Amino acid sequence: MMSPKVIIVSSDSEKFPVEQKIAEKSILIKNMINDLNPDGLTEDFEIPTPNVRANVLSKVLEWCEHHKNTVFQDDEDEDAKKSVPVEEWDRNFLKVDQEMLYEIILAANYLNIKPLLDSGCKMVAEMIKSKSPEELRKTFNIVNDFSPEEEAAIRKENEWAEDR
Amino acid sequence: MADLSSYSIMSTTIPSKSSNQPNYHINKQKVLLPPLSLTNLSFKSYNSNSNNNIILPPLNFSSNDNEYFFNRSIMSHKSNSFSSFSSSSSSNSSSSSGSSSCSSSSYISATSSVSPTLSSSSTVTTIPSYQQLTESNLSRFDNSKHSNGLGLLSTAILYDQQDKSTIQSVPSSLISASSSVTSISTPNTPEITHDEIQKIAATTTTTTNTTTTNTTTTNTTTTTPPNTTSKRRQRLGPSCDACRIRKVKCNADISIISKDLNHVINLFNLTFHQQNILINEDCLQFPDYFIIFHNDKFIKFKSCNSCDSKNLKCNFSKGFTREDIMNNKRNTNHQSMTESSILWNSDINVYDKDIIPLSIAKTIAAYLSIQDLLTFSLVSRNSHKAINDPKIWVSMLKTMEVWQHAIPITKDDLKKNNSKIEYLENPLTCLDFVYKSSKNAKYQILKIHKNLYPYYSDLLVNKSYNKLKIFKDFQTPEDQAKILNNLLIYNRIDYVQESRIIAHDKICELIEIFENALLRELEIHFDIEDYEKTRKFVLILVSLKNQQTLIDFFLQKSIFDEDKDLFNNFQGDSYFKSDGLNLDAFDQLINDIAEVFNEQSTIIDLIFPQSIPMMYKVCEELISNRLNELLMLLIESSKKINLYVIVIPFMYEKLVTVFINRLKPSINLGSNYQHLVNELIDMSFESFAAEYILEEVSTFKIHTKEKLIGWKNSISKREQETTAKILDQVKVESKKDFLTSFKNVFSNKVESRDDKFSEIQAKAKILSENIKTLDKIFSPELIVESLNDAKLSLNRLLKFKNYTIASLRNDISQSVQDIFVEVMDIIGLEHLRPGFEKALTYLQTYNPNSHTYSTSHNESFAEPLVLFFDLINMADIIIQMIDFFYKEELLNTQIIKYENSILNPSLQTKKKLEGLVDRYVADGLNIGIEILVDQLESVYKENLLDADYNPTEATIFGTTKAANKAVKILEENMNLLVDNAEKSVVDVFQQEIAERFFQIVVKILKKQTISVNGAPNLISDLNLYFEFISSNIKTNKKLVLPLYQALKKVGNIYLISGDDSKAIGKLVSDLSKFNGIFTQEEIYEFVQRREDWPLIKRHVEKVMYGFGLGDCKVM
Repeated sequence: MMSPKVIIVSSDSEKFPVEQKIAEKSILIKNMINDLNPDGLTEDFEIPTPNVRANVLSKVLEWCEHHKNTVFQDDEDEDAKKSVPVEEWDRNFLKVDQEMLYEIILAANYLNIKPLLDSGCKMVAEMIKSKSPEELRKTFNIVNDFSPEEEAAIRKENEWAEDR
Repeated sequence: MADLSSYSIMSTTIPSKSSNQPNYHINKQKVLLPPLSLTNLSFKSYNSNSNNNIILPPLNFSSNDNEYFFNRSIMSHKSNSFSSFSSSSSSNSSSSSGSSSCSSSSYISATSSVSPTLSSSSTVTTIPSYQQLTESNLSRFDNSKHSNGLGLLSTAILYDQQDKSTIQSVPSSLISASSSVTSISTPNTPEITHDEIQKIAATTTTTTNTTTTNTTTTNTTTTTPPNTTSKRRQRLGPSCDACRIRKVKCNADISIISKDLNHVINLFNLTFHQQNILINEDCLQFPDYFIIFHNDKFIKFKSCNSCDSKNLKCNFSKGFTREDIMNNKRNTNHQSMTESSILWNSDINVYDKDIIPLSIAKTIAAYLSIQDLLTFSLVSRNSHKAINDPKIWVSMLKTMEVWQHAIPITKDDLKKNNSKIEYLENPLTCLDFVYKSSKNAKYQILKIHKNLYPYYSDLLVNKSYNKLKIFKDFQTPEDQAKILNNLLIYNRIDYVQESRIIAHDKICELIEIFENALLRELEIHFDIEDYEKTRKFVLILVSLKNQQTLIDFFLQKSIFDEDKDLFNNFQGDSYFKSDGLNLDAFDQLINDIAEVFNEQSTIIDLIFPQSIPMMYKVCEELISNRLNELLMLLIESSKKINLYVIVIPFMYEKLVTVFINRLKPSINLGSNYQHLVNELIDMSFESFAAEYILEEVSTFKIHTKEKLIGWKNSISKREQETTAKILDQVKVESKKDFLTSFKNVFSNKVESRDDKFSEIQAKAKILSENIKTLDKIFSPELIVESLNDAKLSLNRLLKFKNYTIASLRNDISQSVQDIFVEVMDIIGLEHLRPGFEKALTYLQTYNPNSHTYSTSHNESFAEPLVLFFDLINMADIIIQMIDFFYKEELLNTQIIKYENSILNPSLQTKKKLEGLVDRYVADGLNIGIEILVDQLESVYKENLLDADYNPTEATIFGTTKAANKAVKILEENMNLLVDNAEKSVVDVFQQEIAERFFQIVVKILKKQTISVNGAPNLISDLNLYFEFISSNIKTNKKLVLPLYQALKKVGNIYLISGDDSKAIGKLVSDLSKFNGIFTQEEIYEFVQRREDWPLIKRHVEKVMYGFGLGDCKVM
C-alpha cells in the first residue's frame, strides 16, 4: 500500500503531493498533521498554503526533498551558528533573483522551516553588506514605512556609533 | 483524502444550534452591502461565521497580497483555521473597498484606551473581534515545542472554531471578544487614510519614545497594528468565579462588548425594560448568556461547561478581564499603549513582503555586522525594531566572551551612572567593564564598536605594519598589548567571514611579532638581572594571554641554560662510605637542593605575577627531571655496596621533611607551596618507591631465612660431630666385642664402662646428647634478632606511610604485612617445627606404640619429658614475643586498620603459628601420656598377683604392692609437670592422666577374679586411688572424682557375701549406685568377676532380670 501523501496546495491552487517526511520539514505542517491526526496519517491529507505561490512552493519543496534526511542542529546555540557559512548546496540553491529569494524566506518563515530561513537570511545578510538603506529597499521591494521624522530620528540615533 | 470537515464533526462536542443559521445568512448579506452603521457588525459576522460553507467575501481585492489574504480566509474556512486572519482580511477588504473604513479607527481606539484626550473626542464604538480563545482550547497546544507560534496558533484557532462554529448565535458572536484576545476595534469614522495615520503616528512618536511608535505601525490601511512579540499565554481568558476559586481552566465565554450603554442597546436591540434591568442590576439575562456591567464596561458572559455540568450558578463578578489588567498596567506605566489591542496579529505580517516580517528581520539581523545593522535599521520599521532586539547585542557580548563575566547591574545603578562613562570612550578600556544588562547591550556594543572599529578597519587596509593606526596612536608596549587584545576580541563579532579571517590572521601575526619583541626585551633585562624591568615586560606578555611562551622562556633561562654543578657533576659514590651513608654529604646535598629552589623562588616572585604558575612549573621541572636524575645516580651507587634498601627511604624522608622545611615561602605558589612540592616529590618518587618496596620485602625474606637456616646448619654440624664421636667409639667396640654389646642390649643394662656403646645404645646416646640442651633446639636470641630485622625493615617502609599517592600507600601496608607474614612463616617453618620434630622424635622412642620405640635409653623417661616441657615454655615465650611485635609494629602503627578483617593476613598467620605450637604441645603431651600409661600397665602386669584379690589363705588386708607402685609413678609424673608447664597445660595433662588411669584400673578389674576375702584388698586399692586423685588433682575435680567414687562402689559388689545373692542382684541392678558412670553391661561384667559367680549367677540374674538365665527353657 502506498503511504498517504501530504498534498500541499499553493495560493494559485496548484497541488503538490509529497511524502509526509518531506512535508514535515515544515514545523507548521508537521504540527498540523500531528494535531489533526494524532494516530498518524491514514489517507492523503490536503493542506492549503494560501500565501505561497506555486513557483515559490515548488522551490521550498525542492529544498525539503533535498534535506529529507539532513539532521539539523537544535536551535540552542544560535551564537555558534553565526560564523558558519551557508552550506554549499543551499548557497547554489538560493542563487535566484532577489524577489524569489525573499519570497522563499517569507515562505520558510511562514511554514516554519528554520534551516531554510537561516540559510536565506544569511544570503540576504551577505547582500546587505555595504548597501545603503535605499538600495536595500529597492533590492527587496520593501516599502519605506517610516515617516521622515522617524527616519531622521533613527539616523541621528545611529550617527554617533558610525565611524568618522 | 482526509477531510477536515470530518475532523471537525468528530471533535465537535457542543451541539450545534441550527436555529442560528438563518441569521448567519442575513448577516452575510450585510457584509456585501454594508450600510455604514452596520459595517462593523457585518464584518464581524462575516469573520465569525467564516466557518461555514463559503466565503462570500467583500471581494474587490486588487493586489496579490489581498489575494493572499483572501485565499487565506478561504483556507481558514476550509481548515477551520486562521480565523484571526479572516478578521484582519475583512477589515483589509473593507478599507480597500472604500465603502467603509475601519482600519484607521482601530488605531484610534487603540490609542484611546491609553490617552484619555483622544478617547474622549472619539465617538468610536469598539466592536470586539469575534475570535475567542480560552484557556481550555489553547492548553491543548501548550506542549508543542517546535512551533514558532504560528503553527501552534493556526491549529489552536482551528480547534477553537470547531468548538465555536456550531454554537455561535449571530448576535452574540458579534461581540464575543475574549478579554485575552482583546478587541480589535472597528471604527465608524470611515475615511481616515494612511496619511492620517502616519501623522498621528508621528505625533505620538514625538511624545512617546520610539518603541511605542513601532507598535502603532500598520502596513497599509489595515486595522492591524503589528504585534509586539506575541508570546503564548497560559491563561487566555478570565475564568468564572467558581473556576477562579478552584483554579481550574474555565471555558466561560467572557467578552467585552463596550463601555457605551447605547452601543450595547443598539447591538442587542434591548427593550426599554431590559435596559432598565441592566442599568439597575448591572446584569441582564438571556437564554444563553448574560450581559453584565462590570468595571466600567459591559461584558457578555456565558457560563462555562464546568458550572453547567454541575448545575452551579455560573457567575462573573469579581474577575478582571485582561483588559482591566492591561489598563492597570498602563496607568502605572504610560507606555506600550497599543499592546493590549493586538494579540494574534503576529501572523498578519508574516507574509507581507512590503515591510519585512519582524521574525525575518530578526533572523537577518542576527547575521549582520554592526555597520550593516545600522544600515538595516533604516530600511523599515520592522528592521529597525529587529535591530533593537537586545538579543542581538547580548549575543555579541557573549561571542566576545565578556558577557559571562559581566558585572550585574540594577536599574537604580544605571540611573546613578547617568553621567558619561569614561572608560567606554577609550579604545583601551572600553572592554574592561561590561554590565550584565540586556537593555544596555546595544549601547555598550556600539560604544565598543565606535572605539575599536577605526583601528579594526585600518587593519583590513593593505599597508605596512609600521604605518598602522594602532602604532601611531599607541606607543607604549602596554597600550599596544591592550589594543591588540581588544581588537582580537572585537574580531569575534565581525560576522563577515572574509574580513574576520583576514583581520584575525593579521592580529595574530602582529601579536606574534609583538611578543617576540617583548621577549627580546625581557631577555636583555633578565640577563642583566634588572628584575623590575623584566617584570614590566612579563606583565605585558601576560596581558597577551600567552602564558606558555613565558613559562618556556623562563624554564629555558633559569634551568636548562644554567650550568649548575649540583646537577651536572653529581658524584653518586661520594655519598657512601665503606660502612654506610655519608650523612654529612647527604645533609649538604639537601641544603644545596633547597638553595636552588629558594633562589628560583626569589627571582620568580620578583618578576612574575601570581597568575602565572611559574614556580610550580619550575618545581615540576626540578623535581621530576633534575632531582630524578640525581636519585638515579645515588641508587646506582648504593646498589654497589648493598645499601639500596637503606638509601631510598632515607633520601625520601630527608626530602619530605628536611628539604621541604628549608623552602622559603613563595609568593607565586602561595601557602600551598610545601604541600605541592611534597606531591611532586611523591609523584616522581613513585617508581623508585615501588621498586624499593619489592626489594625490601625480598631482601628481608632472603636475609632472615639465611640467618635461621645458618643457625640450624651450625647446630646440625655440631650434632654430626657428636654423632661421629660416639660412633667412633662404637666402631672400635663393635669390631672387638659385638656379641657383648648385643647381649648388653638384650639385658637392657646400661653400659657405663670405658665409654663404649653398642650400636643401638649409640643411637640413643646420640639422640639424648643432641637434645640435652635447649639451645640446640630453639634459639630465642635468633628469633629476637629476626624480629628486630623485621622491625627495621618495617620502619624503613613506614617512612612512606603518608605518601600522597594512595595506591603506593596501599602497597606499603601490603608490604608491611608481607614482611610480618614472612617472618612468621620463617620462624614457624624453619625454627619451631624442626625443633619440635626433633624433641618429639626423641620422645617417641619411649613410646611403645610408636615405630621408633626403643628400649634403650640413656636416661629415664622423665628427663626428655621435662625437656619437652621446657621446650613448650620457650615456644610460649617466642609466641609472646611475636604477639608483642604484632601489636607494637602492626596495630600501633595503624598499618592494619581492621584487625579482625579477613583482609588482615597478619593475624591469620600469627594464629597459624600459635596453632602450630599448640599442636606440637598436644602431640608431646600425648606421647608423654602414652608412655605413662604404658609404664602403669607394665607395673600391674609385673606386680599384681592373682592372689592379691583372691587370697587362698588368710592375709593381712591392705593395699597391694602393684597399686602402691602405680600411684608412686603417677605421683612422680604429675608433679613433674606442675612447675614446668603452664597451669592450663598442667590441668589438661593431669585430667587426661586421671582418666587414662581410671581406664587402666577398669581394665585390670575386668581381668582379675575377686573373692569376698580379697575384696578388702581391692577396696583398699580403690580407696588409695581415690585419695591420690582427690589430693593431686587441683582443678576439674568434678570431672574426675566421680570416676573413682564409682570405682569404690564397684568394690562393694565383691564385699557382699555370696549367700545374700539377692542383695548383690539389687546392687548391680541399681545403676544410680555407680554414679551413672558404668553401663549395665559393664556392671554385669564386674559382677562376673566374683569368685563365686557360677554359684550365685542364677539368683543374681533373677533379681536383675526377674528370672535366671537357667530358667529359660525351650518349651
